[in-house]
Amino acid sequence: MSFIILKNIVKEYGPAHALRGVSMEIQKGQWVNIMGPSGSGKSTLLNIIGGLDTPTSGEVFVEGIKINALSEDDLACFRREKTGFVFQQSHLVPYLDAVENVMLAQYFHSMADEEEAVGALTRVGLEHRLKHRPSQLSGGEQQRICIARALTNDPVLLLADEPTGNLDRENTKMILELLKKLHSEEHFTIILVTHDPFVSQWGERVLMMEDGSIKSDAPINP
Amino acid sequence: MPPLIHEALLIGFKEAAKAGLVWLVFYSYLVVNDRKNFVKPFYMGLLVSFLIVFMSQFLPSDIVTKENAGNIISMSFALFLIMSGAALFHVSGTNMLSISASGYGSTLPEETQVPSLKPAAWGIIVLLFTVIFFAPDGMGSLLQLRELSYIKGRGSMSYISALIGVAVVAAVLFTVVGLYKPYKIGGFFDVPQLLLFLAMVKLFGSGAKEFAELSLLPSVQRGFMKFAHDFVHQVFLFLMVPDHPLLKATFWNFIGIFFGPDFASLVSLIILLLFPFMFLYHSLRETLPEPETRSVAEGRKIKAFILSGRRKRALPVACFIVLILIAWFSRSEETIMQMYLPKPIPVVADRGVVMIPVRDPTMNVMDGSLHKFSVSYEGRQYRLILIKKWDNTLAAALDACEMCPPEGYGLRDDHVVCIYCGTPIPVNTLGLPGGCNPIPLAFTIEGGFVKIEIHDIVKKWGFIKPLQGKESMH
Amino acid sequence: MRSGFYLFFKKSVSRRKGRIVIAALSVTLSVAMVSGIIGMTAGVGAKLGEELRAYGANIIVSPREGNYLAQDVAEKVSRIDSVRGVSGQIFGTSVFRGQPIEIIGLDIAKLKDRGWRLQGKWPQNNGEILAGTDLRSQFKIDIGAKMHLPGGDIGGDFVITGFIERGGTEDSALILDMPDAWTVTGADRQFSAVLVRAEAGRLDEVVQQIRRMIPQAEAKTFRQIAVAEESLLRKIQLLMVIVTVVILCAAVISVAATMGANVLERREEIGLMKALGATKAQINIFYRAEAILTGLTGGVAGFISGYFFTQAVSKGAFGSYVPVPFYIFFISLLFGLVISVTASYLPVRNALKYNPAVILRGE
Repeated sequence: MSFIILKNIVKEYGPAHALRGVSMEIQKGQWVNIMGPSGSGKSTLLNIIGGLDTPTSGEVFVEGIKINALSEDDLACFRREKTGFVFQQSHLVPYLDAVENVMLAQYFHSMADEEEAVGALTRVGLEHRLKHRPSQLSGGEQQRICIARALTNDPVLLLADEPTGNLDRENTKMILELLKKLHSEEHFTIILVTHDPFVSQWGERVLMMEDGSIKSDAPINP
Repeated sequence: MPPLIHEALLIGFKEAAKAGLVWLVFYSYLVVNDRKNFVKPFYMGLLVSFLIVFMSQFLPSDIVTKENAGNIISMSFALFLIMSGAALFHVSGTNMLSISASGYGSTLPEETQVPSLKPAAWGIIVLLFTVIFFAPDGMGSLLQLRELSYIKGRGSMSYISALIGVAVVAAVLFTVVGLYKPYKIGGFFDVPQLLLFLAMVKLFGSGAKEFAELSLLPSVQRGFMKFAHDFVHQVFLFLMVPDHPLLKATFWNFIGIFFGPDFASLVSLIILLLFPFMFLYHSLRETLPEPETRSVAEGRKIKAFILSGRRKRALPVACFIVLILIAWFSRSEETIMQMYLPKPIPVVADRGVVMIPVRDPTMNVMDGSLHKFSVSYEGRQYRLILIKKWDNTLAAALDACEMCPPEGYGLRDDHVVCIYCGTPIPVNTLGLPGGCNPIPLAFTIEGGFVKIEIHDIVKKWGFIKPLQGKESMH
Repeated sequence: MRSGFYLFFKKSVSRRKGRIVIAALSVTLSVAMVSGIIGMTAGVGAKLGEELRAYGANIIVSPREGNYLAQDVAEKVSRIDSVRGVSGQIFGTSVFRGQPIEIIGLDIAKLKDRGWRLQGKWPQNNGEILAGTDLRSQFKIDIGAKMHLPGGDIGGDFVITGFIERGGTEDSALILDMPDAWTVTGADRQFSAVLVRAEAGRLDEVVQQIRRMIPQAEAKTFRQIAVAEESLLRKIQLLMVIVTVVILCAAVISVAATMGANVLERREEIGLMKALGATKAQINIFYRAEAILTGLTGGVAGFISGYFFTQAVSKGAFGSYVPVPFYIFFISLLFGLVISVTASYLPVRNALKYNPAVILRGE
């Protein structure tokens, strides 16, 4: 059985259709990039897989759990234990420093543990920026905190929505290399949304979306 | 229909409330921890207790039986208190053995491990403790009921009243349980907390002596106070022997603080609170075990689970502490501070002998209360006290001791209390010389009179160091 | 509560001081108003009682028939056990510049420590009198003014040494010392009424005794006289309750606006917490805790400023400070809590309803 199974997902925002019956499967440990023009429903698809949004109809299975049938609190539980999100805007809490931002994710998962949070930041190469607040850090550093935060609860699924959208080429490369390292060493399943062809070259599989449905689905040949 | 007997109603209500509360907590505990196989031994224990209580109906009704019942109740309280401590000790030594943490929503392992005994053995233990818990209290209550029916002369009415009390509680309990199914409270308890809870129910719900004593608190308080006083007293006796004529009254005032009821009360309170505080310490401070898991996050999750469980189970303990403090201080206001101060009855020395009738129409010196007399001789006033000891012998002493200014003594519970320094002296130790004890007098009982030589009184009154303190005569 | 809550709460408070202070300030203002008003209502009541006590009398003895009581009535009453003080008074009218003018005759020496406000000096000699403060403007007279008052056989000439103010009928009357009053009213060695100060709690007993001893006199407790003032006080209190309720509503709305803005600003944070897997209850507890903190801080600060507000108003209105009962402190705390918790309830509930996916995309 595949790690992620989508069956005929439809998502409507009022009269507008964001997704028009998407079905697909993703294997455990795969790195999938979702591409497409803006408004093609790629972010919506990502959010539905991550349990951040619910489909209007259709079924979503992650690790055998039918997450579209979960109650709100169970869905929150699913998010904190199975997923890690990275967003385009880093969405760090402005009044918390780097370590505390990571600890916040731990807190909602179970309990805050400073030592572990420091470890997570070290993993993304930020051991020299522990006590800095987001406003004192560069965009690339902020995104790296986000990755540390997303990984600290040991998720099975890493979801990234345009993680490099606000970064220059150099930082983009740095983030992607970090992801690649984590992917090859720790075998996370990664789903990454991007419209940048450079970014889409990383990973193992590219989904092209257009107007709420999948146009093409092809493996990347290195 | 004859009127209900309120005391009996209260006794029935109290016993039923205790049983109901214990049932509710224990049953919830079993439900939450999936150990419902212990329900049967519990019920059997209740049945056995009931039989024992019924049998106690045939016990002789005298003071010794009552006294013994009170002692057994106190001992069973102590047993549960100490066991809860022991269980806590056991738990804190136990480590988590097999942890099979999995995804969300699944239950995580229990922190405690039941030692590997056969379920049958555990069943017998549950049965035994149920009996130990309920039988003494039930016996005590039944003895009280019997006494009530005797005193009030209304036969079975006291039993009927008690049954009505039971019925009221049962009705409330069934309604609450039926409507709300409050089994969640079981999550607040683990074995040590459960035992502590039982001890607390005993403490607040078991009267050892009279009807007025609804809870064990006064006896425990008395017991602890006596212990504290005796201990301190012995230490000072040891240090101060043979005598202490050179010590100033102010020094004895200072020492008096340690003898006094306030200090003894405080010490005993600390002793009683020791266990609950141990619990709190364990719950909140004890280091967490490091679980071995696939990932750090999972370990953190188990730790958080254990921690929140501990905090949850610390909650009832914290409540106990608050309850004990409130009860203790509100009690110590009303019962500990009240002192019986009889007025001295004037008597005369006839040919060198003071004669006091053992019994006359207005008084009986053997009634267990404190009796004070004053005698005037050669222009001076002397006071003496008579009191019956627990072994039914009489004690005669001056209304003064060697150390304090002769303000005299009052009676409080089982102690005579020095008015000046507040030292409580167990009645049974009267007749012994030294320390803050009233100076004993030699006496004889002849022809219905207590006879005391006036020269003995005058001579011993001279031992008092009366003149540096205020020599206030009553 | 999980380990770590305290850390995040502390950080969110200490690093967002400005926001908290503004929210707490708006709570403070409303609590100050409310506690000030309650304090004044309670204070005014106490003040009124105090003034009655300052007046000293709690029983009034008046003639059952005719206008006057004989002087020995005062003596008789003063001999009753549990009577602490007796003062005979005489009321009459005279004419000044063609207008009728009220006259109160009493023992002026006894007035001195009763808290009447005096401008000028106490009369020292015969012929020196006090005037109620209203007369000053009515007749355009000042200290030292000479008055001729007809009455009795000859009447008399008097000099005003001071003006008194008490807020009662005395303010429009002349206060004469006893012999002078007798001269003017012609009621020699008689009283219009005798005011009696008896031990509180034995008033009825004393009233009965006076009625038995002096059949020609009527004795009443002062309570009956004070009923009118009580009803006035009750009206004032009602007014204050209405004002309080109005202020409270306005306060809740304004605090809600402030807190709502705070929450709106943190919408992104709420969305993020949701994405991190926080349940609604877990998120709620942060905002609830902040509301409680704001409420308590505002409550304490509001009590303090309300206290000074009360005293300032009272100083202006009564010329003295009023005692503020301590329970108002707890009422203030409660008000602060209620205001800030209710005010933050709706904004947080709304914020929790947003779809985190929409908030976080932030486009």
